Amino acid sequence: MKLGPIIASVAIGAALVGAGTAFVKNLTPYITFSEALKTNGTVQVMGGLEKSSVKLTSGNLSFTLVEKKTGTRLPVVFGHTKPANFEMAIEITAIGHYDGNVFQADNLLVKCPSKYQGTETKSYGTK
Amino acid sequence: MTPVAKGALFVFTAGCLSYIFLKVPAAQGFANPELARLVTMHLPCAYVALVAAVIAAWHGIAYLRKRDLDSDIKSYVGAKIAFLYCFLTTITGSMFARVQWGSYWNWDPRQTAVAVLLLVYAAYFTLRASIEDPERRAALSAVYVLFASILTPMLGYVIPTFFIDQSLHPKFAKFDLSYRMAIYPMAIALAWHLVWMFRLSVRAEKVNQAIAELELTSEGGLA
Amino acid sequence: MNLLPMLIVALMILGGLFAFTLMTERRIATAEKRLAELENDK
Repeated sequence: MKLGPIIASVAIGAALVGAGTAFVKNLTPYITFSEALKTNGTVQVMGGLEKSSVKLTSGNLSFTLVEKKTGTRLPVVFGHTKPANFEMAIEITAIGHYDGNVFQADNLLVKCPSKYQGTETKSYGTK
Repeated sequence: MTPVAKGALFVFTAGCLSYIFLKVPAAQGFANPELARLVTMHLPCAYVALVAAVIAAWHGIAYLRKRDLDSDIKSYVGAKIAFLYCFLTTITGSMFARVQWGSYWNWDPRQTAVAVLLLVYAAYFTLRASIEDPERRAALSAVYVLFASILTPMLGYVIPTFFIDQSLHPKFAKFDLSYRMAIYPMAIALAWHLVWMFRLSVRAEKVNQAIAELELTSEGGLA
Repeated sequence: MNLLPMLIVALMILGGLFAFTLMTERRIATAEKRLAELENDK
């Protein structure tokens, strides 16, 4: 009679641990740059922004991302408006695909700064 | 809660809110500096979710030790409130992600983890609903709620920090004084409200159970 | 104004919480009345 709850709770516990370890391995949506070069579909990559590489040519924003761990560099082209805090970005997530030449980004996500403090005199938001 | 206490809570909450909108500055460096203030709702919700999870676990343990169904009700109400605040944290976080990162949901490590956490709580409510016998339900729920409560800080905070290099969340957020002066009082306001909500929900749950029992016996008497 | 969306969100959350507890209070009052009636009927 008392066995039921024990078996059930052990089963729940085992399921949780199993699911937990399975998903911890896949907790990040990002793939490495070398993987991105081989994939045709839409992927997410994340890397540090190389500030000197940022160029704006005929409405296209192009820049280079550097992968933290390996130091691999990936040229990225983005055809939409530049995100507001792009220049201050430490890290950028690019969602898109590699076309054999450059990474064509459909969307850029910008990592939050870690400091929350007032703007005082400086104002951003104007290009 | 007495009308005076209610009034005090209301005034305090309104004060916190006015502080956020009148005194907290826009944070520089964000895509939308004005809406960086969302963090003053997002973080307190997360803190309070943890408080509620601790309450649920506390009363879960109490049930396992004393087998008093009152503890089961309290643990259940605690878990419900923990779920509510996890949900509010997720919602405010998703809005924050939309204005700052540019996407409501991109399976950031923290987003994935909190999605799992919400499922863990959903499974708890399903578990409760599927067991008829009150004592069996209480015992199983108490064990399960311990898992859920441990997972709340694990999935909400600890595990995603291992992946923080691969997250759009900041590693350690540093808040200047005006932000801290908004976040902590707001957390206190929500926690204060939690005490009220907790007591009321426990009372409501008890009254409803008593009514259900009486109706059952009176129907039995008629038949 | 830029802050309006956040004001709406904050008011919805806080207002929702207050509305919920105040409604629960009223629901308990009616439920307790009903409980007393049921106990009298016995």
